[in-house]
Amino acid sequence: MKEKEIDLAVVGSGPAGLSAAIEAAKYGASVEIIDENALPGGQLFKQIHKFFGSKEHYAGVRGYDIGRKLLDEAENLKVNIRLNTIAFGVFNKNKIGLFDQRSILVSKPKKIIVATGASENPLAFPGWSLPGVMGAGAVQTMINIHRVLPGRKVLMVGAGNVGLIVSYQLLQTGADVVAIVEAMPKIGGYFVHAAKVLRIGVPILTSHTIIEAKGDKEVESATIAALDQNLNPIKGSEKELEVDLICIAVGLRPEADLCRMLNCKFTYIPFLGGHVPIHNGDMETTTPGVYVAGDVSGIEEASVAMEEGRIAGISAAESLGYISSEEAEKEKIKCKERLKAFRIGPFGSPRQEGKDKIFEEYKRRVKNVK
Amino acid sequence: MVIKIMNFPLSCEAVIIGGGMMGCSIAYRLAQADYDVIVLEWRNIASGASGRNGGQVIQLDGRDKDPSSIARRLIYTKENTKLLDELVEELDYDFELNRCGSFDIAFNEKEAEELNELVEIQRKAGDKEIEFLEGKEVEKMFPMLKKGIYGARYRLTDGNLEPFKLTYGLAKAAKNHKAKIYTHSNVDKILIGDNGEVIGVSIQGKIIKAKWVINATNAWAPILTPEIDILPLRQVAVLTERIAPIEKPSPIETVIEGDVIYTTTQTKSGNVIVGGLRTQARFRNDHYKEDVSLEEIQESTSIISKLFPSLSHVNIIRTWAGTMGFTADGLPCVGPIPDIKGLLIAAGFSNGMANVAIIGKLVSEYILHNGKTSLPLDPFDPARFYKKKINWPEPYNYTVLAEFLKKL
Amino acid sequence: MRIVDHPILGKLKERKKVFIEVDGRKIEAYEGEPIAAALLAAGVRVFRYTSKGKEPRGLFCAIGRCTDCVMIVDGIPNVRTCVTSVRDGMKIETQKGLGKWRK
Repeated sequence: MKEKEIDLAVVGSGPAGLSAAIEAAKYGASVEIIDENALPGGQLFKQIHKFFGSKEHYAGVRGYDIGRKLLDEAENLKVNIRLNTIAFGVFNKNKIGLFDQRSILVSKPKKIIVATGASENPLAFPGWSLPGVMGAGAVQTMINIHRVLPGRKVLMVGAGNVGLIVSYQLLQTGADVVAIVEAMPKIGGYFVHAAKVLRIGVPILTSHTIIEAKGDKEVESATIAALDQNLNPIKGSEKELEVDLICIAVGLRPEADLCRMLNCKFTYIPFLGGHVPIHNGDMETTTPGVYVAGDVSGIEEASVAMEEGRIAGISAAESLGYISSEEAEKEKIKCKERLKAFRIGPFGSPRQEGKDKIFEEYKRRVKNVK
Repeated sequence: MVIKIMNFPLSCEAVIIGGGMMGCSIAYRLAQADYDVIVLEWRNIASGASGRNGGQVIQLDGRDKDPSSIARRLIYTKENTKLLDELVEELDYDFELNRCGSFDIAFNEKEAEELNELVEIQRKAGDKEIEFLEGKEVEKMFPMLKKGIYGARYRLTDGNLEPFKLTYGLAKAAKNHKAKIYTHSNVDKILIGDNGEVIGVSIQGKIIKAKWVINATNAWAPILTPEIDILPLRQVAVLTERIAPIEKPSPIETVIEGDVIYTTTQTKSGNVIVGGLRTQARFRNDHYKEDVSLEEIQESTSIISKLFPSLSHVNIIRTWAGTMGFTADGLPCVGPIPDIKGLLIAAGFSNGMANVAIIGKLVSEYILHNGKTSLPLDPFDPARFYKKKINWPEPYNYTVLAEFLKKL
Repeated sequence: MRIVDHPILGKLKERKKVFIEVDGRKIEAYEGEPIAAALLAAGVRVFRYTSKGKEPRGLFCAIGRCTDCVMIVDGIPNVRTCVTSVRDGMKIETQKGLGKWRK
């Protein structure tokens, strides 16, 4: 098996991975990004809406344009991006097994950044396996990247940001979003996104959920019902909706299997998606030399992913000796300030709390912390 | 951090240490007889070799050429086969026993001759089920097998089963008969009184008193019973995605490069599993490591395409390693520890399925009927290895050990 | 259904067309797109039937994780159609259970 030694391997070419690779490469590290997909950019290219926030967070720019910018920067810095290559495991502590559809390669990096993102949570209900029940992210990929509409009348389950944004993007294709149901009494996503669909007349039914998906071989209708304070369906409140597509948008969870193989310790933070790899403010996990960034370290947003990626890249470059501790600290502080600004308010502060809990766990587990 | 405090009983009649298939089999038999028995397992049920083997049911494994050894082993495996079939009815748990036969395949003339010879010796020693099949016959039974087989040693009542389910089935049945099984319960010490009688065990700072303590921890047995030198032996397994049924799904043993044996079989759910003893020689402690190297994965995986060329596209979905117990004569240690009243051992297994039911029965009989067992435990007498230190070669693997034993 | 025009993404660009066969039926696809996309565009949503309950299954995660979308592609079963690109002349079959071995 061919073995390749490099300074830094970044697994995942989404906003976190690209940002990390760019930083490390800027300081002179030899960096390789590995991605199992045919296209780089992770979820960025599906985001056809405009981002908001500060200028550094590409306010007013569409996701796919940000993706394009990052890719160009990475290419200019001569970062090698291996596409269609799956990192199928870690062996002997620092050898990454890669499969590129033809043969096995072995990468022997000095440092690893895991930026593998997240996967969608499923939701079980009678009929949940019928063709026509899909993840909201899956539908987003189909409509925005492949320009294919998997159904015409849609029930969206979940009014978090993903549910609201994908509902709007479905409307943009000409599909009819019949309703959005949200089990909680409040809408989970930003009001900006909710307003866009409400304006068009899509009802957002809070304290409601899907009871059953019906159909012979595919989805033909869905039964929804109201929920009481204990989240139990209220008898008599059932309504049948004629839909052929049911999107499940009930949250994401970190895809951190590689971290498990790298012996990283985990902690459970429900607000950040469940089991997350423990890390410090410099994005290093409990396994020295292994860093995380983006959704894999806790479900947040693309802008956060980019900052965390930058911090991880700088930290890796620092530990490789390509940048002095003083300079690294200066650069990291800028990123950390921007991160703080993103984690405020009713939506942001629970995430800050979650991250603080993770940093606490890191201090507890790792002795001799600076 | 939360430490789970277990509510262990203050005393019971028998403590079984080890929740693998042996421990659960013994617990089942004792519990069935209304004996007050508990099982203390340091990880999960079937977390050792019991849950890591390929499920191959091969009643007379290896290429034993000694007629009296063969004859003696047959007595026990025949009885075990009968009992396993009975367990299919008794346990309220389908462990997917499939008697589809087992094959030991020869890829060249020399091997075919050796196997033919072996079959003759085994038949003479009393094994009426073993047969030698010509290459053409084997190819007819296995249309997907690589062409050019020179012959095979075949036993029709062998096959495969699901070892997790077997162990769980035994554990569940034991619990139904009021046995208590505690997982994540690591025994610190077996407590023996000055009078040479077992007191019980100490665990998490508590003492559980018992009349009998049974060490059923296989490869880890020397930790609690250092006087019996059982060697840990690591094996690697590789599992494919579920595929359509191969004709036949039987375990196939093949020898690669002279003296190494790989076994392949297809489970009821459709996954093909490959296990082999060819791993790099390691130091003793490294035989307990359950992670797998890339080279081991590649090697194990290549066996599938060597045997079944049309399966070379099939994906591997899981790999792992497990640790079996190895003894100098290949037979387990089952019975009383000399000089100590009430301490039994049931460890040193590298073919659990050929022994699980009979050992459970014999150990429970020993306890219930004052040492009287329906078949003698003499061949497995722990006394033969008691306080006998063997200078095992290190690093070792199966090949190194086989060479070493030849010279002994 | 193909999204021919879109307020943000604009008109569907001209791409090279290929033909794939699905259960004997010829279907048009765009070179390089995932098999699942071509099938959905053609209105095909049932990709396979499960072994035990013979239940219909199709696309769910679209990211290569859940394996609900597998079909028999050019004779090979268990192929994830959401991460496998189409090729001109590709033969795709609805997978029933684990499929059957060809003689």
